[in-house]
Amino acid sequence: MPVLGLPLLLVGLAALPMVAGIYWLRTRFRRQEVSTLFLWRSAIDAQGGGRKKNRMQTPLALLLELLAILLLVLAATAPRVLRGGHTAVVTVVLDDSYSMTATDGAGNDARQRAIDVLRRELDTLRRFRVRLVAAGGEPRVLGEPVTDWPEVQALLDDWECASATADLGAAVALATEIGGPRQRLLVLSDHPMPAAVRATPNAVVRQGAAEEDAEAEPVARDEERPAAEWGRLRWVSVGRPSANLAIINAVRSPDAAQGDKVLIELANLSETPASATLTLSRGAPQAAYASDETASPLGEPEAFSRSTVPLPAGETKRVWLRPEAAGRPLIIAIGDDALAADNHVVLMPAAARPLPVAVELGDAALARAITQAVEASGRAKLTSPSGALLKFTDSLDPVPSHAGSGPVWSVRFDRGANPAAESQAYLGPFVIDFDHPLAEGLSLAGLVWAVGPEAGEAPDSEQTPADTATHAVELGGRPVVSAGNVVLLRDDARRDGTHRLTWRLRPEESTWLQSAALPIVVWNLIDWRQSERPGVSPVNVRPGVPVSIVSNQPRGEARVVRIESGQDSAPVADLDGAEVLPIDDRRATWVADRAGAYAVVAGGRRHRVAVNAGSAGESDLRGATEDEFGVWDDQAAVVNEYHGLAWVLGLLALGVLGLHAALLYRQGGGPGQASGGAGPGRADFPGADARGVAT
Amino acid sequence: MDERERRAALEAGRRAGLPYALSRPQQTPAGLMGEQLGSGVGNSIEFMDYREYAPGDDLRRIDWSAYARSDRLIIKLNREEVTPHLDLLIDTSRSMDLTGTAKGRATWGLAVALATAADNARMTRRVYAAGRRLEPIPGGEGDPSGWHGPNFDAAWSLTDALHEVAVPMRRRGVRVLVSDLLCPDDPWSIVSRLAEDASAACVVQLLARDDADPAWNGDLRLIDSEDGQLREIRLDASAVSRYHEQLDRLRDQWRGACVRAGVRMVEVIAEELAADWDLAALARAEVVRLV
Repeated sequence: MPVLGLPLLLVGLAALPMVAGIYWLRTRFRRQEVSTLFLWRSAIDAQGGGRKKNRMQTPLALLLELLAILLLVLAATAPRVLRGGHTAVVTVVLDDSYSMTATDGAGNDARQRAIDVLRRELDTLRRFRVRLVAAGGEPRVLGEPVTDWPEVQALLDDWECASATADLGAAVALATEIGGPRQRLLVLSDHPMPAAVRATPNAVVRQGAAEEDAEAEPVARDEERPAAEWGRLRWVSVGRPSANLAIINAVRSPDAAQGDKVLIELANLSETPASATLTLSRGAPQAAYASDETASPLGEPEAFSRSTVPLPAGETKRVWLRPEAAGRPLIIAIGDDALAADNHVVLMPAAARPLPVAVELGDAALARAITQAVEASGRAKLTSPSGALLKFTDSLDPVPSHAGSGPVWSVRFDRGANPAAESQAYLGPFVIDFDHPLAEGLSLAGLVWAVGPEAGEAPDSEQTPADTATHAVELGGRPVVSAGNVVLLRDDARRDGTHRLTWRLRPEESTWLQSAALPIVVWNLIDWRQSERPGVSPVNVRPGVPVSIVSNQPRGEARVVRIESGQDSAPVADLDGAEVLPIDDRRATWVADRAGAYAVVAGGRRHRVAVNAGSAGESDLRGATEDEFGVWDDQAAVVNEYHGLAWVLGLLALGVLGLHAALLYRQGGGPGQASGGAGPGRADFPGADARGVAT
Repeated sequence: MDERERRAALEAGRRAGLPYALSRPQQTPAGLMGEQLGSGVGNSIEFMDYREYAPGDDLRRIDWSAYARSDRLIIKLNREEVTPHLDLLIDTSRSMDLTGTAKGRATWGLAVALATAADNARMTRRVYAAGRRLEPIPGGEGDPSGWHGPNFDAAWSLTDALHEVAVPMRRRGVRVLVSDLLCPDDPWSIVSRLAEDASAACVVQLLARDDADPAWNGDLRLIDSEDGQLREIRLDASAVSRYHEQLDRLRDQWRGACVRAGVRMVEVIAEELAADWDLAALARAEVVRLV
């Protein structure tokens, strides 16, 4: 469809009726009564034998004049038509947050309204190639670019609006990168356009275009520069404000002694006080789920508690619970409202598997302190060396890499090569590698750390030739704590996945045993080792948070599938849409992007994970709005995508005017005699031009 | 022209005619006994001739002095005394009251002026309307304010009117025709009929200024005021020139006919006459004279 660069100049079309009016006024036959006609007969006969003329006797000159005016006016409006074969490149950023599922009073959700808007916008384009980008916590591209609406609809099936957040800025940046600077960018969200973006709507687009330009040739970059300035971002908000009660946060803390502790945050995101009916349900025990491969992660939920929580307007209330759901999934729900996604959460039970730990230390004080720290962790149990997965030792004897239940990690306390030698005590400063799992929350301020000499340079006496030949090759130690260039605590990672830590220490000359740092290190060590046991961790996450999957097999694959209600009878391996993750070195990492309950199968074991998308920002529908910002057919787009027709119309106008002049010349017999030699002042008589043509 | 304009024209014509008297014709007029010498023998004191007495002659006219000198009975003849008569013919065709011109008012005013001049010349008069036929206007002999009609609505030719005379014109009278003469009739048939048995005749051609010199231009739909016919024309200099040629030719024909019949012809522009009601043009043509 042609567009007009200067549509206001269409006012020039008013000249058409004006010219026609002038023509009519000058060519109409005025009535004039005369005394007699016979004196006029000679003049009448000379002009045409007395034949009557009709009103349309001279249309050609008029039509040429009107046509010339029309062409000139249209040329002045800078008309443009879409280039032949041009395909509009459109990238659509879809808000993938769960707030898009909020329904209005009529039951229509923002997602459907966004689809309607998308259909309407695409209908305005003759040909398009559209790519969809879902803006969740991380932007993701929905399929390949498509060129017709049915294909777009097929892609929209993957737009599920289940993310806890929508990083629209990142999605727009991604869309800019993959779509290029000449694309049309459409953002569909229930949120209004951010004020900062509204002030500089093309900042994100320009950023992406500038990066693209930087990679291009210098000449090409110059040509592309105007395109990079296009104002191609169009933001359509399809939200509608409404009140909403939401569970915006839920945490389940394992407590083997008193039962799990649950914290939920309820928010009344409205302007009036309300009450939330809190319903607690519990699912199948872990044992039943693990033993039955067809069992659903939630099993058959059983409601066991119902209570009412009053919520003042606009406030958030924290509720502590100790539900009777040990080892079972806990489903917490409130009543239905505009947004269903935040009306329930699922909290899976953490695996209750104490880590078997063996303490074989000659130093009694050190052994007692370590034992106490292990017992205080609540996540480990002391066991015999043969069944331990974590050993504390001060022996130089090699520690086997595997015990009966799995790989064995060891911590060897090193008093130095020569126990009789004088100790070296360090007061700090200590260099701590806080990226190491052992260093989390660790503080060594005021600590006296005494070590024996030359201990750090001692070769690994545990290394056997057989180990070196097979899989227990040293990978080099990683200093965890150092004092200057002296490594005090070192982590040696081995190819079989085990870790051997060397802790240089003379406890009797140190203050370690009196420091809080010791139980911290022990806790971190147990937690780290626990996380390396087969299973998933954590079991309750928010979307976007990585879930670590540890398999008992060094290679293989893990399958993750979201279990919808009603799909609880098929084995996970048989379910469609299962996400397959490669297991490398017994580990795989999965990032959940949708809320729900998930089944995870890795190494023949079945686990379950709950993803809860509580978010105060997404649940708050009071700020939702319906708005539009930006246009696609901006001036730069018109210049680049459309052919200008002004010059064509101008040439046509010149041609018409030339024809008009030739017509006048031919009818008038020459300049100044256009009216049949009537004399001065007659050549401009309009009717004189067309008379001869008409007759 | 409405009645108010008509009466205004009548009054203006009366005033215009007061200083003038209709000129005496070259040929002795005839008429009732009156104050002017006639062409025949009468009872005036004006000596005319002698002749032999014939039985039946009035014995009172015998010139006894001549009988004493010559012993013959001689009758002394004196000129008769007559009252001249004016037959004023008004063309009542539609063109004489052409819309947008002063022809109607000028016609009425000129007729009244001539009637007044005739009164000043002690002439009797009769006013004819040359319409379907030539017939006197009721009250035409009296005061012009008492004239009834005519309306300018005749669609008949002047030739037909002059040959369809309801009341014959007076022999040896003075005849004046007021018309625009814009008709395709043969002028001679009209002029000869006018001059027949008249002591004097005059044709006053009363034209509107647009008749004499059309000032229009552009595309015109011309409407014949006589019969309503339409003709469209692009009026340019060429067309106007052709019109002037035709008008001049028509005038020449009328002038020739008038000369041939001994009829004087005067051309008057209605707008000029109605502007000041000056009859100088008629005086110069000796149709009227100052009293």
